[in-house]
Amino acid sequence: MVYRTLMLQLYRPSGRKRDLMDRALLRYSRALQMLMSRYESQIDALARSGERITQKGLLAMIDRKTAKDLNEFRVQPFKDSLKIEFAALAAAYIRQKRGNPGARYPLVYLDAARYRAAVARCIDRLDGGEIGRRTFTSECTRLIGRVGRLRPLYFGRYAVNRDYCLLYDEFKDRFYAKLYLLNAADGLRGRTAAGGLSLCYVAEGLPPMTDPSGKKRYIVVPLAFGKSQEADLKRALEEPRLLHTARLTKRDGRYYLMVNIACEPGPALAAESTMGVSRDPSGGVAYTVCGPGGEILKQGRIAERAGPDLTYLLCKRIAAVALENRSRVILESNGGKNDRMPVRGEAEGAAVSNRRYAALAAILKYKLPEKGLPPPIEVSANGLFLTCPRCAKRTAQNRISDELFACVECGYASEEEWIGSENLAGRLLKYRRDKVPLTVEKQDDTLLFYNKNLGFRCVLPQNVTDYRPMYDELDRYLRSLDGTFQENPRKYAVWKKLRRSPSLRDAVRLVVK
Amino acid sequence: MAVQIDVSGACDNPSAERLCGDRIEIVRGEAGVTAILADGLGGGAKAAILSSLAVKMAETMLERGEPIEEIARMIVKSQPAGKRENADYAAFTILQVIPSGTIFLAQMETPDVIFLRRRKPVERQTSRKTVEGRIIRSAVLSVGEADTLVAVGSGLLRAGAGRALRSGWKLEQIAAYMANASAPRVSAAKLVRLLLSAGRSLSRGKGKYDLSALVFRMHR
Repeated sequence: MVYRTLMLQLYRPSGRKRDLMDRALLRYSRALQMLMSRYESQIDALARSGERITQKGLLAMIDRKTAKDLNEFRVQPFKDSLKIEFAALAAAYIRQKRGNPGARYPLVYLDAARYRAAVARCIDRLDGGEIGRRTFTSECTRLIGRVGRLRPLYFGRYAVNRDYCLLYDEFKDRFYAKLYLLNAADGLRGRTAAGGLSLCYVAEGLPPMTDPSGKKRYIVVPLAFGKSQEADLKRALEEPRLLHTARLTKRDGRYYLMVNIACEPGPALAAESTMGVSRDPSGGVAYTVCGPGGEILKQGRIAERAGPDLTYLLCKRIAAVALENRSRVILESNGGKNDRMPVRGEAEGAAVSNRRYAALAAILKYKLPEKGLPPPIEVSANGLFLTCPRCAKRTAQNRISDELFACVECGYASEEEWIGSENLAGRLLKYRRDKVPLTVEKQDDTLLFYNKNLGFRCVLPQNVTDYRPMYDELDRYLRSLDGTFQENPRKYAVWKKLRRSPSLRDAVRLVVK
Repeated sequence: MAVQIDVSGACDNPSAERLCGDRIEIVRGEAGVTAILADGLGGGAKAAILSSLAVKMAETMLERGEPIEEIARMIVKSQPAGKRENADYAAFTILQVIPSGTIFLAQMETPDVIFLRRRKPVERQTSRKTVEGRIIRSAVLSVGEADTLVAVGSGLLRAGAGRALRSGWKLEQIAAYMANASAPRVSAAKLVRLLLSAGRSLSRGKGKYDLSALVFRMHR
């Protein structure tokens, strides 16, 4: 299932509601920070141990006492959300720590006291010569950026009587959000603003909302949104099950509810071409669309002015080009690290960073299926800009200057900026054409055939000229393998390629060792 | 010690419908190896005739043992255009390497010959002589341990015209490319193939100009 995030603005909340939301955000952030601090040593130990982590195991860490301590923050309405987010944060950190031992422990909320202590520590380290001036500046800048920043409040479920839900006024054709922000003790007395409206829940059967007597633990706020969000909300009216989790966040003094809504993937389109999208040395991304035979159909560059929405704008345009050409998008894996993109003096810093490119790939993973296109494929980016798109020769000598590529093996020449995307666009075709290597090693009186990825070994007498018994054995081996290597993608890829091939002889390349 | 000479040259005509205006001829004899690259300007039948004429004249004079400076002078004199600047004519490069290790070079209105020694471009001194209003550049060089001489027609330089290259596809780029590609075991024929292939790639297979390249690889 594909999810989309609807960004709905809470329209002009009153001073009291703003105050309630601010308090809820602060309490939530502090409570989550308390959880993270309390289990820091255990989470670190888990990261070091290499044990398999499960959400259940991480949730089980939170004992009764801690759960009770959370009440001090008055976060009873968000207890489940806190636990889920704690588990998610811990799992992400453990994964990161195992891949990169230098990964920092997550900091959810930096209060004034911690901030002062952290800055004092930085000053001490600078005085002691432990860190240089540059590191000191970057550390302090990071701390200043983090101090007092509130964590978005997570609503772990969509429900009419807890967490959050949406309301609809059919007479005014307006949507509202009902947010459970208060515990029973702090509940509000009296009528809510919703009392004078004829609201119904965006839930199965659109039940009417009644204003119950007694204390109310929720607030109701009108929503403001654009046309495309309105269409999604109208769809949710018919199918309320599409609505999932949400987050309440505050940006530039405005409050937003980010609702996750499931969206049906559009009608699936068969890909007719491949579209390689690489980073561009002069900024933005470069793309090349190749036909089924590898011929270049279209090339171009997509660039947008730098801003907070840059990644989204790039994705939008990439998706539009892919849809226009009915292309399967192929991207650099790992954010394009080690792709050896040339760095041009005047354009230094303008190029899309590895982090941004990785974010772009993550967005395209759902954006393309939304348009009915297959999800993007990520392939190794190693030496992408030094590899010849025609003959696949990879050498630094192929780069004549930071803007000119000319292959020293086959003579293919082009501008450097297209090389990355051309390589990506042709990669699938190359994979399809490549044969599976089968190493042949002479032993005493025998010939040993093997493929390490596949785990296949076969021995034939040295004087044979007909290798049919080896192919028969390979065929038997492939048949016997069905479904026994779910965990090994490399083995699966080789197996799949050989199984799909009409003739094993055509799919295999013998390499004499 | 005799010089080992590996020489190759080829022309590429982008359009099958018209005659190639460039001609390359390699003559091996007792005097050594001599090659002429004639580039008929303007293209078409007239350019093809002019370049063929220049090549034929060079061949005949070489058989008689004439020095290449004299050959160059005669070719210029025989050009039908004379002093008129807008007339059709054939530009040319003549390279001669004699077994003792001396290189003679004479060229008229063709791109400078690239001289690589140990895969690095080397500057050389040329003398200029005016014959019939046209300038003949000539030079005498001696062969080093691993030298490469690359002569190209003007069409190859124009191949990158439609590309978004700030520095363009000029002699410096061709020299850098040849320096990268001329590994010790790479033959002259392969270098020629690479140059023509690069030219075709840069013109996206839709080039208007004839491509020609001549490569000498020498080893003492």
